[in-house]
Amino acid sequence: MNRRHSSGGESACRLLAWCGLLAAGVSAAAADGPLPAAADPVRDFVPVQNRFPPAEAGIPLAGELVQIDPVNRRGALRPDGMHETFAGHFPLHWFALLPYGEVWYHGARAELRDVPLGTHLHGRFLLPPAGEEETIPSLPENLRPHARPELRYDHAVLLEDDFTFYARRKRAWRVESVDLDKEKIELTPVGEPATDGITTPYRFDFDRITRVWQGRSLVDADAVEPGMVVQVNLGWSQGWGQREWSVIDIWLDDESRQAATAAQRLRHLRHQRQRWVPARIDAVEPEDYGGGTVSLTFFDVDPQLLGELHDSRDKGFGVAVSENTLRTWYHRGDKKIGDVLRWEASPEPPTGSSGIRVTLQFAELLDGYRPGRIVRVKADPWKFVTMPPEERYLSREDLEKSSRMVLP
Amino acid sequence: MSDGRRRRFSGIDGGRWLAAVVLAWPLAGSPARAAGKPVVIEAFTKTHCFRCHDAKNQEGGFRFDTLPHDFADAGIAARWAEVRFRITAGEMPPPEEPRPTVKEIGGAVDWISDRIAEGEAARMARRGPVAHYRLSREEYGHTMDDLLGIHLDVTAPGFLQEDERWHGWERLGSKLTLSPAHVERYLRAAEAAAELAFPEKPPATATKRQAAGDGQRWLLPPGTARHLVTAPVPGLYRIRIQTSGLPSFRGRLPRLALWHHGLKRTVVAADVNAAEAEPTVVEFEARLPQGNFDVRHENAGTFTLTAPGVHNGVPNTIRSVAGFSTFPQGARLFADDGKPLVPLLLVDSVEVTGPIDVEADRAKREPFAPPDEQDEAAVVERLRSFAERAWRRPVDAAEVDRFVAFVRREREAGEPFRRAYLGGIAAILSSQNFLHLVEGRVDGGTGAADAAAASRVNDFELAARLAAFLWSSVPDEPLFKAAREGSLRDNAELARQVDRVLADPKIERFLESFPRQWLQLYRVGMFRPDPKLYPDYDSGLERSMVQETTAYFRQAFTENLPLAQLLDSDWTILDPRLAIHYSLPMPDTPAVERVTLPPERHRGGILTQAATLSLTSDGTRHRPVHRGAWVSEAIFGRTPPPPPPNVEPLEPVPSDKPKATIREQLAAHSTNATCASCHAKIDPLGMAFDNFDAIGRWRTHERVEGGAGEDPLVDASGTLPDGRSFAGPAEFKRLLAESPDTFARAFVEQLATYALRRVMTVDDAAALDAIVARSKADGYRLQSLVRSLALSDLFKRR
Repeated sequence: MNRRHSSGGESACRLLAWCGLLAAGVSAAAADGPLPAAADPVRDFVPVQNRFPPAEAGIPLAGELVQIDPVNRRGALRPDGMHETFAGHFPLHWFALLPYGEVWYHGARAELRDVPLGTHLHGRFLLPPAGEEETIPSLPENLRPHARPELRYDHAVLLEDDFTFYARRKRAWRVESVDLDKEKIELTPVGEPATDGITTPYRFDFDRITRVWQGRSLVDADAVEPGMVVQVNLGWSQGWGQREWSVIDIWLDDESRQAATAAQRLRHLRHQRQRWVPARIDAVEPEDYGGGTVSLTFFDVDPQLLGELHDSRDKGFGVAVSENTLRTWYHRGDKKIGDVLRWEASPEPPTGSSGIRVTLQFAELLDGYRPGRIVRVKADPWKFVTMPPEERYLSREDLEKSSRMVLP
Repeated sequence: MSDGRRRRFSGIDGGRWLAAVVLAWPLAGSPARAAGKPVVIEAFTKTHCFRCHDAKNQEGGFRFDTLPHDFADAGIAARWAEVRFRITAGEMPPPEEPRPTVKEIGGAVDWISDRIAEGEAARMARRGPVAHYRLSREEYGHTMDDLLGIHLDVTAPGFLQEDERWHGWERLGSKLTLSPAHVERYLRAAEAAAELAFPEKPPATATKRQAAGDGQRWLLPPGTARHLVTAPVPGLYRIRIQTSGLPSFRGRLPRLALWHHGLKRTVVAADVNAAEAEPTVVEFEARLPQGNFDVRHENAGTFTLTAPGVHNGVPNTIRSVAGFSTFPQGARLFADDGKPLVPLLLVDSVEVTGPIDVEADRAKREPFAPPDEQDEAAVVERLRSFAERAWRRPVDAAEVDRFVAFVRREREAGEPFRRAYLGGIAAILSSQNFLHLVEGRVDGGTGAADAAAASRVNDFELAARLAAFLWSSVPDEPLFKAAREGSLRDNAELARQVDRVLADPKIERFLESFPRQWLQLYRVGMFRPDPKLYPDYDSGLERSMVQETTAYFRQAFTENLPLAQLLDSDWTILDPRLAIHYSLPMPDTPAVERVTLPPERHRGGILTQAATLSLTSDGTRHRPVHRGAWVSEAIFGRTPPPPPPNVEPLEPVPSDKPKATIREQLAAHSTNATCASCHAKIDPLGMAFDNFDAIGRWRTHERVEGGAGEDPLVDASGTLPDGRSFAGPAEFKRLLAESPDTFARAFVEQLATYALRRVMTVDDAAALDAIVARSKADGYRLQSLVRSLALSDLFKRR
């Protein structure tokens, strides 16, 4: 099933098979495209408000990040190698990140806004959650004929760059040859055996635009020598239609890789401390004199943040209401502070969950404290930061508008 | 003086003394009981004190054997109090001396405490040839109501001072003084009363109506209010509020209240249960003070958020619940199924009519209204008759002339006649004869030549006493007439009058005031329960709690139930809020009604009512020793001796130690001999109710802050001072109710204290015993007891 990175000929056959199904009856879901051949309940798991998906849910897909809406955590990938088969336009793979969906960059958690446009990303995409089929709207008329089955899987649970993708699988690249005149580099995958990603020696574009990282410095392209074991991030190439990529970053040693990861991690920590840790409400037990208890589960975030929450829990947590886009209204003002009654950690949490479930006691409940709703949680030591207006919800109209992606 | 000591007590009837000792500690305490023989103190002091504090040695410069026993002398009583402190603090006898036993210490301390109490009572009850008993604040208000048909809010801040309390009593003559500050306020109050009774232009009755309008309804979540009512002058108003009251998802009803801005309290309130589509009209007819009122939803809860376009997180008005949606960051009002999470009020309109001129009230003051200026005789007659009614006795010409002359002087000074006349009225109301019940006349008054007459109050004084006791006011015309005719001397006629007084609606004042003072209900809510620990406690609950106790007393009085029913019963008076508090089924209608309690009841009787259980709490937890002291005072009429100074407060349980109940933490009370000497008699009375938390809710485990482990189980067992043991509150109440003699004796003394406005002394003991004995036959029925006191010799005694 995960062989979509193989050569173009096979994809042609597959394409014919998909096209055959177009006539077999297309679902009216806004994420267009015919149903895949065989039903698979794990792959076709529909996220629901109160459950995290199984690890194998959804389909893997890779492509270049070409559009983002950083405020609403949405964007579009140009999927790898689909161009040559169609003349003219073909639909991008528009997506929305699930609330617990994660972006990884340079081996650390990140936001969409941290990833430069044009970076090649690997992702895992699920069918839209129940009731959110319209978030990614239907294709415009002229693109409908080019609908693909993959387009239906338009909610991303994971997006990661090549650095993270290969490092997570304990793989790297060995430099076979570098030719700066021909602007090419040959890399062979090394490390654990694998079935996804690039598994064979490959040639990429390489020139003096590529950022070469060694130690804590940016060095000259000449520093790259055959035999080195490196990590790379890939991006735009003129051969984008024939599965050709250029190397946009290359890390020559461990120190440079660790420095990149550490820097991104700090950026992520700051982001979360200012926007607060997202969580989902599991249960609410109201009292009839105001207030009540709320149980919530934190999404998978950097363990340091969870540690800071844990260590300061006797001061209570501030909880602000949020939406699936993780945007808040005016979180420093409309939050309520709850006393922590229980902190429960469960081992081996599902995808997207940190496994930490907290029960809080509130003197007032907000309307957005309902099971399945998203909230953002602040630890006492973190400083309040007012979010700029373009990131906040300001009115019901804003809320309405943000519920659907606007295709450019 | 040593022989004087023996002489003083030799006259005591040995039989009565024996009975006192045999009936054990509860009887031996109160001042109006038989004085104990000093055998106990003699034995104690000979064994433990004289060695260092007698003629030969005076350690610390203190000699004991010549310390007088005249406890009526404040200085001597103070020295004995110092002795008692030394003993209870464990300082004396010094540690190196042989230790007295618990019983010895207890006996000695009790003896000293009782004598001190007797001496205090004697000092407080001391009366000269003329005794002045000042009116309490509530009596002032009720008197104005009966005399002039006006309603003064006597509790308004800055109007009249609060009465000085003594163990809950607010009308003791020796405590209610008259200072220049008091006089100043009485002058102002009298002028305000006169102006209110006879306004230049009587205020017109008007009706004002406000509506949310246009299909909208004001939405009031708990704790929110709208300013919708104004009373331009004090008076009787009828307020009609059309509203729907939606219960919470647990059935809690919204309480609609009128809340006064200046007084900062609720004046009237009612629970509302009306569906959204079927609003009801809540009607209040009440005497309101002047000012602005909010229509307020009084339930506990805070809704403090602001969102765009809304106030406090919720909009001002809505059309319907179904069409209502708030912002996610606004307050949560509805459950997922659309039912209200919290009680909600939807108010359509408010109509205020008033001030309403009540014919009956006008009739009261008509006879004293300013007459025609030219009619000199009418002026004199009206002032005379007003003074007579106000001062509760006939007024002679010389006394009236002072006021007539005052009016004349004012006229001559240029005042309009109406104001001059009202000045005279106000002056009569400022006289000491009005502000006090005056008993005895320096000039002999009613011919007190013979000794018998000198020891009895005259008929006017008797009528005044009766009216003050049962109506908190002045005698009405029929009672006054009987006094004038001298017919109150006839026991049959007096009985007829007493029965008439008991049957009059004004008896309500006694039925509210006496239990409030007797049971010290002023302490309810004095330490406001911590909202974090008791989040659903609100002022509505507080009122419901107090209302239960006074309504319970009223019911027992109306049905003339035996006194034992005050201690233990199978019924109580509930409103919906209290039913929730007690975890009992809600009444069908949002009203106050009598309910029969289920067999496994934890309630029934005054001792297990939320008001009495919570008035001893400190805002965070119950205090069993305070509860024991309260039971000791209210039920047994005995105030325990005070604790020694510098007793360590209870420390919070350390986090590494297991959780312990307060009872367990007070272990020193039972193990340390000095502590146990007093606490063995106080603590069981309070710990019997450990199953009730700080606000009177039933529990089986005691919530302990700090410490490790589970909350411990409550232990409410104990032993009464007479040796009988009990397993919990139900058994405790039953034991008390089975032998009500002790309680009856204490209760009669409390009643007499209230009725005669003074502390009872040893000289009154015989008379009180006689009243108790007379009532024993029918089981000490409450109304009969009150009647018996009103007809007793004690009540007529000067």
